[in-house]
Amino acid sequence: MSDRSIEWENQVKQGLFADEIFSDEMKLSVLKAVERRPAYWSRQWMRLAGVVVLGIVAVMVAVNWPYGNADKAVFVSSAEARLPVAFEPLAAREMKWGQVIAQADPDILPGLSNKYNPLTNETNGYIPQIQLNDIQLLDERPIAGFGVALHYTLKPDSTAPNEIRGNPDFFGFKVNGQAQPEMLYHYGTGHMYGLQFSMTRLFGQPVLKIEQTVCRTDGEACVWYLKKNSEGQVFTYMQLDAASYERDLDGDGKEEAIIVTRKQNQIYIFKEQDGQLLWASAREALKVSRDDSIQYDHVKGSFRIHSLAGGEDAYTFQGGPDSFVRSDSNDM
Amino acid sequence: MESHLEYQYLVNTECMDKSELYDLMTAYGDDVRRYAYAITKNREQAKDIAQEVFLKAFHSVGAFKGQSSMKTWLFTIARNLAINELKSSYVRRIVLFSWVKPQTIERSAEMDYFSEQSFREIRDIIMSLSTKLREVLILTLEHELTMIEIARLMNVSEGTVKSRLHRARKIVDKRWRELEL
Repeated sequence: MSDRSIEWENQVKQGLFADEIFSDEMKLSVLKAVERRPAYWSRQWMRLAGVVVLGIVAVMVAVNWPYGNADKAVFVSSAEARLPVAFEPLAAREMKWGQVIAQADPDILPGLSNKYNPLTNETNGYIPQIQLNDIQLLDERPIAGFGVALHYTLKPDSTAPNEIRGNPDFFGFKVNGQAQPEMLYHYGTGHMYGLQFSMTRLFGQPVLKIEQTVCRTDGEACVWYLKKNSEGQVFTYMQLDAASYERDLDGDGKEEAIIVTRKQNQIYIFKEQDGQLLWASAREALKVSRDDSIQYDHVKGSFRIHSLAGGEDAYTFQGGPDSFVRSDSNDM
Repeated sequence: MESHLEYQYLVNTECMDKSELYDLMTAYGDDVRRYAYAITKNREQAKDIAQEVFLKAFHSVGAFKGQSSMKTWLFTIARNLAINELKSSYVRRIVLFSWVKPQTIERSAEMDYFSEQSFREIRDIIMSLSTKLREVLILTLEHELTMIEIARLMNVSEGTVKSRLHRARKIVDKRWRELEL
């Protein structure tokens, strides 16, 4: 074989299609598709499991039926009626604009996948703006009370920032009454399908919430809060690698963020004070044991503890002083 | 070269969990997508096929009997899908800029030696081969499959594989030399 042949063969051995990678985005799509299309055996297993569970429940009901002893049927909890909640400043590194987040870095709190301080400002939460002329619009969706979400590709001669190889779809938005109507906020790659937009309030101020319920490969949701500065410029205010809800739990007129993780079944409450996040763990405050689970019911604003033994306790959060107060779970 | 034992534990199992699927995609995703692209010459189609391969693998892992390597099994699925021109669409997630890792191609000494121009020329020559010849060449050189594996994958005899590989090499050699003149 000649040197010339060796040259091209070596090239082929190293791969001709380096751009053709199986990205995280593709993995996530497959994992989502798996959830949508359970395997045959999974379906069979679910049916079988349903039968088994029904059988077990029937046996348990039969064994535990009160038969004249009413005490046996009542869940007795030793939980205290009022549990204090202590908030503390969040110790987390500050992210720089455009910084690459290494997934190997430690989480800021157990079960919460953020690697940096979720709270950002006009500098590290800066969103670049590009000319509308630079884009080829594919789709748009109005966001009530905010503006219009845009799905587009960049034109070949565009000078807009693009860190992605190829010609991916992008996502951005225009804001009602923005000073430069010929510009748009150029937010990221991907499209709008699966995203939920809503105007809400967080820490006492109006924000745009962008939510993706299935976002990360580990199944966690992602939430981005955007807000305007005094000059009407939009920037990323907070971003979370978990589901997040806003509610004024303590009645001080400022909405707290209730962060709910799948990993480790954690619920955190975030407050903002002088530009700093304060946090408290509902799981810790309510002394939830490792075997028990905790849920947040956003409609009712209640925190529910499900014990392995089958009992359930419900708590609400109250301010002054911050605490969880036990409530009748049947009322919640 | 992949060890045949690496995914041997999946032999005779009826289902895999999502973490195993994720590991499988991490280990073979790039190879499957590149192989699908080598067959289809269509980026979007190759992307869809590659995703469908892992969905099928997840749903029918019971069909993996360990008679071939995991990679060859995945390639077989990819090939069938590519040939049948199955297309699927998938919802892609949004990746915000703060998450985006700039993609850079690791350049080896050999890649530095080749100019971008000559790299494109080689790729163009190979992509201009007939599918049968291109497939054998890429499976041999890039994916390092043996003659036997390729023969099984393509459902042809070993002799046919050798013949196609010989022809492919000869054509590429000839066209590559012509460019030099």
